[in-house]
Amino acid sequence: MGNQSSRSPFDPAILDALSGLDFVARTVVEGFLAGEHRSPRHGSSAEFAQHREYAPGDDLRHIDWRIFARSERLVVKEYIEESNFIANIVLDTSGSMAFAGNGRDGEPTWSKLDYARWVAAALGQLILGQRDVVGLILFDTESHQLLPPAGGAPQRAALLKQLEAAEPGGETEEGACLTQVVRHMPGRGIALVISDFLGEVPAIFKGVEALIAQGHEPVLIQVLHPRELDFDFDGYLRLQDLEGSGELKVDARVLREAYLAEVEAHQSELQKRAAAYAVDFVPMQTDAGVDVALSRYLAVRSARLARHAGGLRR
Amino acid sequence: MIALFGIEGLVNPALAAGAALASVPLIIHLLNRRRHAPLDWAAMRFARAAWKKIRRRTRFENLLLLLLRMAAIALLALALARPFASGGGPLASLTENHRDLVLLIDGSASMDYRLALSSVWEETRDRARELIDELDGSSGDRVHLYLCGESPRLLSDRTPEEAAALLSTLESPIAERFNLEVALQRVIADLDERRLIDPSAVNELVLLSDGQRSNFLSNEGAAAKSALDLLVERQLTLRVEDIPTRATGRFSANPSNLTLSSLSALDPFESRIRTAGAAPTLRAGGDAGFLVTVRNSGAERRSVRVALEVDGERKTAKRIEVPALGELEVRLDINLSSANGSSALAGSAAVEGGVFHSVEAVLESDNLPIDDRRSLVVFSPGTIEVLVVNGDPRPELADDEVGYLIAGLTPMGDSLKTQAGGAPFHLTTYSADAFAIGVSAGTIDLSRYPVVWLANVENPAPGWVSKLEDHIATGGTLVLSLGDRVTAARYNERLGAGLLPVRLEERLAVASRRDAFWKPRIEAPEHPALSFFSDERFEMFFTEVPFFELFGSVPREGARVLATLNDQGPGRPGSPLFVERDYGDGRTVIWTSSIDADWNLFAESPVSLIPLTHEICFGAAKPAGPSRNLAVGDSLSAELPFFPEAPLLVRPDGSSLGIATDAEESSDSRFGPGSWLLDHMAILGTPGIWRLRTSSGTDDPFAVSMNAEEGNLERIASNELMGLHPALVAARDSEDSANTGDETGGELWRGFLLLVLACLVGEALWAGHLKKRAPGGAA
Repeated sequence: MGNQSSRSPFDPAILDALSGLDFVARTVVEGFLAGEHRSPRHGSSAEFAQHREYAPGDDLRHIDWRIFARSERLVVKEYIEESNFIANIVLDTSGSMAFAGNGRDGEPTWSKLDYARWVAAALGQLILGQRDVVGLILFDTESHQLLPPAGGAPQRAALLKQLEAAEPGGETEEGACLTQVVRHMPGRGIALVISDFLGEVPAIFKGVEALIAQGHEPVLIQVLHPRELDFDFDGYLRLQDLEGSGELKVDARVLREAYLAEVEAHQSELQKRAAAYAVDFVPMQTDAGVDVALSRYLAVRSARLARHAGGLRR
Repeated sequence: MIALFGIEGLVNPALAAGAALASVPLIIHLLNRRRHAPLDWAAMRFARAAWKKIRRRTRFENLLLLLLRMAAIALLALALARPFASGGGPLASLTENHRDLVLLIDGSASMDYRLALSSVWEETRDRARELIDELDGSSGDRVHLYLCGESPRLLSDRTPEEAAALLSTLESPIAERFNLEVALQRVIADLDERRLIDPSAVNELVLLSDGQRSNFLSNEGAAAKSALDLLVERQLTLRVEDIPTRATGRFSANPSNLTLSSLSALDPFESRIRTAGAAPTLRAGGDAGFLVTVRNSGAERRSVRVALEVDGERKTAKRIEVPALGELEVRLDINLSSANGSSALAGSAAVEGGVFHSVEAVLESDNLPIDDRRSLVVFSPGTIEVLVVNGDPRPELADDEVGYLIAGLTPMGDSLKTQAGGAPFHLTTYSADAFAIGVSAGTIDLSRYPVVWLANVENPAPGWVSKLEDHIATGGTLVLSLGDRVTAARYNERLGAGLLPVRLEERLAVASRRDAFWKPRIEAPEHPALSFFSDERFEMFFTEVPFFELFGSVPREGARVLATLNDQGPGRPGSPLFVERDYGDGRTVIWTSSIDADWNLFAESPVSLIPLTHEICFGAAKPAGPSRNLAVGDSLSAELPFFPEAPLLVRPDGSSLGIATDAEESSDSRFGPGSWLLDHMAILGTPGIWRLRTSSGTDDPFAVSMNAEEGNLERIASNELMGLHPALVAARDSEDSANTGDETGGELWRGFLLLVLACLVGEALWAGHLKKRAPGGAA
């Protein structure tokens, strides 16, 4: 959780107090170091990216004839395309996102969905600010395409409006929903999936696979409440499932150890799978500053892309 | 369930109800479960998975914790209820070796018997100390120490330390017999009472004794059988340790000992003197005979010197040979008169009417000194004033109505003088008329005459009869002898309401004095007036005297017929001849025939008349007050003719004892209205001569005697003792401990407390372990 005595403008507590997503988004994004965003699509723009083997269907214009002349191999040249960036923000609004702790002193009083909204708004603001396009898909029991990808000020206003209107509820199965989400995502782009990812990991990554298969680059942004990670409770609790699947009476002190092991295993599994799929996995806690979490991720991502591009040039 | 674990019962069963508090942790647990705080939770999948993994283990851990808490409370309640188990139960090994030693010490006089280097009593104390030292007060052992004589004294009822301290204060045994029955009854009563409070008490009964046979055997077999039966009912035994055998290493059935078993006074006619009143009354004259019995309870013939001391002064001694396991009577004669003829010897106590003497028979001291002395207080009367009213005076003494009576009561030689040298009786004779005038006019002071004899008085006038009644009621003796001047109807009318012991009827006479006569029959041979004739040697001097005439009579209520005539024929009750009846504090006697020779030949037989008249008058010399010959353990009371100032009781050893008792004015008229009674001054614990001293200079003796049977040291062998009763167990020499080795149970409370502690420690460790396993669990 953020330090109360030296709060930045992006402290979630302050953002919570600002309440208007428009203001929040702008506040957050203005803090970022704005940078160019390269399109992941390999087209025919000026900057060469790499060679690869010709595949039927490739544009014949991209065949490097000089290589063919020397080695009689058909290879095509790929270029980094400086194109409009398509991003879809996929936001989990299931019941579990409503968790906001048990109101103890010093705990975040906002829910995971609130925090996810801020993250989504900030990312939308950031993307639209780069003259790229962004769309919004909410999912709980099923997915809903609320905003097809578009750019400009009207899209920004619509995005924030939809985010503000989002309400938690219903069960979710992230994997199945992500598979459905693909239907609402024409073309290829970045899928910024914001969820608590508390479901079964294999199922989640089935959805991720579907996204990848459709040429999307999934970025898994996990929003969790700190209590979900440390289970810092005492006494007897009646845990009521926010997604309505019953309740469980437990002695928190007794349960904690086993619970933490479960959570750790789950998180570890998520990270492992994400690494295996070369998917960005960004864990966030609702008591951390949104800007810090996002900027750290974006910095890492920029560095990685830069390394990647440099490698291709060589 | 309790029985299942071999717990036989609880000392405080009510506290066991506290075990119900064991449900408190369960209730708290259940209440806590009901108080689950609701929390909306997202990561239910992890919570469920975690719960599934730990559910069984957690339930087991919680159950164990709960059980430990419940067990701690339940066991604490049980510990407070003080459970006890039997020796054979499964928990026997957990019972405490808590011992309740009931230690009976035979404190009888025979325990003072000296062995080679020490006395039985000293050995007994040492042995008692050993037994007490075996106990551990800190582990709850207790000692119930009884000193047993005629009755047991509970000296200590608590810790071994207290018992040991009290034991050291017991300097000597008590001069009593050991009564096993009474001791056991007391012990059983105390034991039953204790078991009400403490049913787990394991009692060991040990008797330290000199094994005196008479303590364990009665005519019917085992002494104290009923009490021993009660022990058997309670599954207890009495372990008897024979201290002399233990000390010397050998059993002696008949330890050598001589006992002065009896001391009694004899009258001049060699009959035991009468013992009515405060002390045996000697006859007039300074000579007195005493009969001493010495018993030898040893197995060897013994020669011993017997001495007689009177008022602390040795008078005579005699050496005798006492046969083994037998006894010998020896007569010792002394003269009580002082050399200068003064009224009393130093150390004697002169009272109105005579002198009390303390007499002690003494043996040469042996291993048991306490039975080598025996004491007796005797009364030597002074001159008794007798007023004789002659109803038919004659010029010649031989013809006079009271001529023979005067002759009979007049001393005829030194043998019938009093100790002070005077005559035993002093007679004052009045005619009936002079008596009537003198009494009426007050010139005759009746109170001066303990004995008034009305002989053939014709007319008992109401004027003096009432005064005579007052005198007799205050303790005097009235003797009525009849004759031809007496009229039955007038006597019945004037005296019948009080003084006359019988209702007189018509005169009876034999048909012919030449052909027939009647003989007297003794009806009360034990009566002092006839005790002389109860001796078969002298009986004929009474029963063979011919009687020709008498008044028929019917005894009044309360009268005692002492002698009758055989006038109604053989086998039929005859007419009363000699009748006695109490009147107030005094008495009246009637001789229904005449005292002269007109109606019988009694008067003409001196060997008949003298003993009878002497004994009749002698009764007036009966010393008044409580008895002066007492037994050990009796309470001492005394009556004095003056208010006793600063009374002091002097023990036989010369030590004195202040008396807290206040003197009260006595109702006994013997000494008149100024008589004072010191009642229950002290319990007499030592045999010998005790003296009551006052600031007036009086020094009244009291003889205290021990039961002579205590000197019989015949012992019972252990095998015989074992055969007497199942409750009696003779200790073997090899057994040093009071513990009989039986499996004994005991209380479990300490074990239960340890279990409580173990549960609490276990609970704390377990709870700590669980907490540690969930670090930071507590917010």
